[in-house]
Amino acid sequence: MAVVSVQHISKVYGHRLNVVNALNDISFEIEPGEFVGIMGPSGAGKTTLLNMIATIDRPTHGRVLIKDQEVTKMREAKLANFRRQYLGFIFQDFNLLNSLTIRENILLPLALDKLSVAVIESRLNKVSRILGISGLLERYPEEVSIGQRQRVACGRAMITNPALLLADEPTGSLDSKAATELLLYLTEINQQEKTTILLVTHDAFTASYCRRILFIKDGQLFAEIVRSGDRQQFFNQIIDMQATIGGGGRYNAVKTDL
Amino acid sequence: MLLRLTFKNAMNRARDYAAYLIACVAAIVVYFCFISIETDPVLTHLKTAGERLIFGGTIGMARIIILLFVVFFLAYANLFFVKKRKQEIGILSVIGVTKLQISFLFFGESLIIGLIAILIGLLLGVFLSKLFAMLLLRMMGIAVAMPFLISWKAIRQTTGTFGFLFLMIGFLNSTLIFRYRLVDLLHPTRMAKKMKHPTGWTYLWGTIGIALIGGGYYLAEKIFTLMPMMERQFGYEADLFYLLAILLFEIIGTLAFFQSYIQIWLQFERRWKRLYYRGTHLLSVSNLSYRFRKNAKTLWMITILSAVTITAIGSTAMIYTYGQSQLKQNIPADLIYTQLQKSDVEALMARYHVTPKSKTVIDYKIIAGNFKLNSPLLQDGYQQNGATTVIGLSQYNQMMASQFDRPATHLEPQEAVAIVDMPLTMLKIPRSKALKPVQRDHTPLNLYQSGLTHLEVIRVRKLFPNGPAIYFESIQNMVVVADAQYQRIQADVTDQIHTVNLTKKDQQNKPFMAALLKYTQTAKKQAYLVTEKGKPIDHYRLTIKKPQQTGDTRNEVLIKKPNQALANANFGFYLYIMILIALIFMLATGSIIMLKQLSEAQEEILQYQTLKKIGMSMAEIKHSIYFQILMIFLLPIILGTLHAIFAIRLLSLFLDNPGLQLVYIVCGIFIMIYLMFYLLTAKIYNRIVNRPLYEDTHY
Repeated sequence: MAVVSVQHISKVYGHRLNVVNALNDISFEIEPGEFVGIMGPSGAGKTTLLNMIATIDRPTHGRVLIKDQEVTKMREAKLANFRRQYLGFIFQDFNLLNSLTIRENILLPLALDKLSVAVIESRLNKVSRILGISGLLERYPEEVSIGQRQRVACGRAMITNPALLLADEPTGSLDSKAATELLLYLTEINQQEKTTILLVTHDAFTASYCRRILFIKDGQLFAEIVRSGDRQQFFNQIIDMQATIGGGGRYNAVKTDL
Repeated sequence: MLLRLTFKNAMNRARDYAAYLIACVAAIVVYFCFISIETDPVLTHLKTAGERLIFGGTIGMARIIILLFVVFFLAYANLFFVKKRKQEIGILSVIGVTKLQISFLFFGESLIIGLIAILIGLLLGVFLSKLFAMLLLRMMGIAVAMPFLISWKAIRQTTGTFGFLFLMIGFLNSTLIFRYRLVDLLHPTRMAKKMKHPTGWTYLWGTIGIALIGGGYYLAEKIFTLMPMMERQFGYEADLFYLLAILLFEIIGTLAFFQSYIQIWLQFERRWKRLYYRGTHLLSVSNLSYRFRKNAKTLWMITILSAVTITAIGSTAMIYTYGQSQLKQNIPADLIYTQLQKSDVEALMARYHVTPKSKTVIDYKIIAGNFKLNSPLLQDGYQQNGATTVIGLSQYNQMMASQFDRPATHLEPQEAVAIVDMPLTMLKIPRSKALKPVQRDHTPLNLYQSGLTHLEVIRVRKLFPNGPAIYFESIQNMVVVADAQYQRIQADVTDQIHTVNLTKKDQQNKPFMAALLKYTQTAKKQAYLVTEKGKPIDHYRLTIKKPQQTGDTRNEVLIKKPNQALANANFGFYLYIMILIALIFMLATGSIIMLKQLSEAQEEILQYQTLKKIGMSMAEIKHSIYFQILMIFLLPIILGTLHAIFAIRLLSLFLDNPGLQLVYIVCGIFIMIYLMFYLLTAKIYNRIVNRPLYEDTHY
């Protein structure tokens, strides 16, 4: 049973006179425990696609099923609950709430679910131990480093044990050291907790931590590569694919000799 | 081109400016109405009870108060607007508009806004001024036809004054622009949410704040016990310091309350995990913590302003109630006159064919006497020594029943009731048993006549039969004794007071009333009470010749109607002015909170979008927002009202506890207006931050 099933979705933006086809008939599935990346050049529709899956946006055509539930037909009020229970988000700018301490930031989704204090505390302890932020819980986001902030964001996404963890350019604002750390944590979560992860990035290094990568270009699924060897090899594959999408690589799929 | 931009800007920002504009327009309308009252030909020649009412001075003061407040409000709001638009200034600078041009742009914009405010204000003013004047007349209890008139003078003056004000504000705005550096403009100092855990100082300052507020309230409540103590120790200058201390305690305490006490309180909430980790509460509390920190000074200012406003209108309302009851106490019948005036007044009545509805005569005696009451205010108690008016119980009961609807008093032969002309609050503190003066069981009343049984004062009252003014000045102290005792008193002076109640028709008989009023002002006969020093006791005598040494006088004839009309007119007028000023204060302070909150809303959009993405529903967010804004609005109002209540109670102690119903009504209206501001702000705030994540677009 697939965690996510995207079926023929299209998204049309804009005004009647200026229609933009952001996505065009995309279909794919993500199995439980997978670590999937979506890559593509700017404007390819990566974030739009992620937003569809994240139920933040609705497709013009087609449907999205998460855990066999058709989220594209749900009402707003129900969606809020759905997001809270099944989805976890990591944003590029972390979007931590500055008026909350780190502890409060992490446990916020559980508080919204009105769980008991004991459950909340035990989950909080577990997550903060995995992410190595147990010592920072009483601080405010302003008072910790950027890398730590991103880990807090990660903790907030994980604490509900989501069926699907969505990350939109999670390493976009990080330096390479912090980025590597975060990716290692994500890998660990994926392997230990069997959390399904879907991340969007345009950075090949970040993508190389995934198990499978979907490339989209101009709103369409362009290619798909699966990691079989080690990370370095996978990284090279990704670089090649990026070059191809850019219009000149070894796997030249698009006619350029006009 | 720049001109078009200016105009378009002003129009586009109409929504931002709406609250500001409404407050400005209200100020202009009220200002206009005040001037038109001053200059209205009907109102300026208004007469009540034969006296011309002079509005000029009071209205002038009211206008100055309004202007001062408007200057403050305009400056505050405009500083705020310019700050909010820093980035816009930056972008304009980058695309090559010079600062001079930008300042012209801003100058023009504020002029346009000002112009719109003045135009709307004048238009409304012209239409409303008649209504306002009619309201004024109604409140003053005067029936005069008001013609619809456009007061050109009022238009000229209002336009001039406010035009000048807006011009100055325009200058202020345009000079502000030169102070910013381009870097700051483009990257507006991201109002980084600086959150701190409460430190030791927070706890200290917060505790001090609460202690100061509480201490101020305590001082206000115990003024009649503590102030005399201070007086004894430091003299009468202590009074001023005492009152000043109350004021300062409240002002500083309120600041500490908003800066620290609320933080302590919210921190306490945070520790209470059962409640805190429950739904949106966590979010509301932590956001409130941030908002109170950021808005502490504004909220403090609003609290003080609203306390002042509520106190002002509350005390005006209280004084109105007090005045009404005073009038009733002082002149409890339509017409009261002394024996001396009997022939003249009755001749007057006969001339105008007036037949009284009812007529009563009572007699009283004046004799040397003495008694002493304890007062917490006066170290030696309240001492009455010398001429004492004595009245018989049956006559007293009869007058009390007919004039004040009081039940009959029963007296044993040796008992007496003392009536004194001073607030009873000063003789005893009714609210606190512990602080009641040690009332001796026996308050002996000595009437200097041999053969009288020893008398005791068993009750102290304040209501004089026929009011205090009809008796002689120095002896506005009266004792009531049982009839048998009264008969046995051989007084130096025995006199009579006549009381007449008139029919409605006669009361409205204008020539009669006018003649009567004239007579009271020019009565030829005047009685004097002369003390003849004697041993062992003084004796008294009435004379109508002005004595060489000072003699006591009294009011010979009291009439109710004209006095009542005059008092009504005066009080109505003050209440009217107070209410209008209060209205402006409310609108301005309300819109200040509203503007600040709505500008914060812009900064909060991202936060609420994030919350929605991690699974907070729109209903939950709405709930949290309404709660937060309610707190922001409610706390200043609650605290301000509390301050005002203590201030009004303090005043009411000096006014002998008049009824406070009118005060509550007026304060209630005030709070209602604030609630409307709250609902509006919460609604707009919610609309700004609580947008759906996506909108289903249709093609």
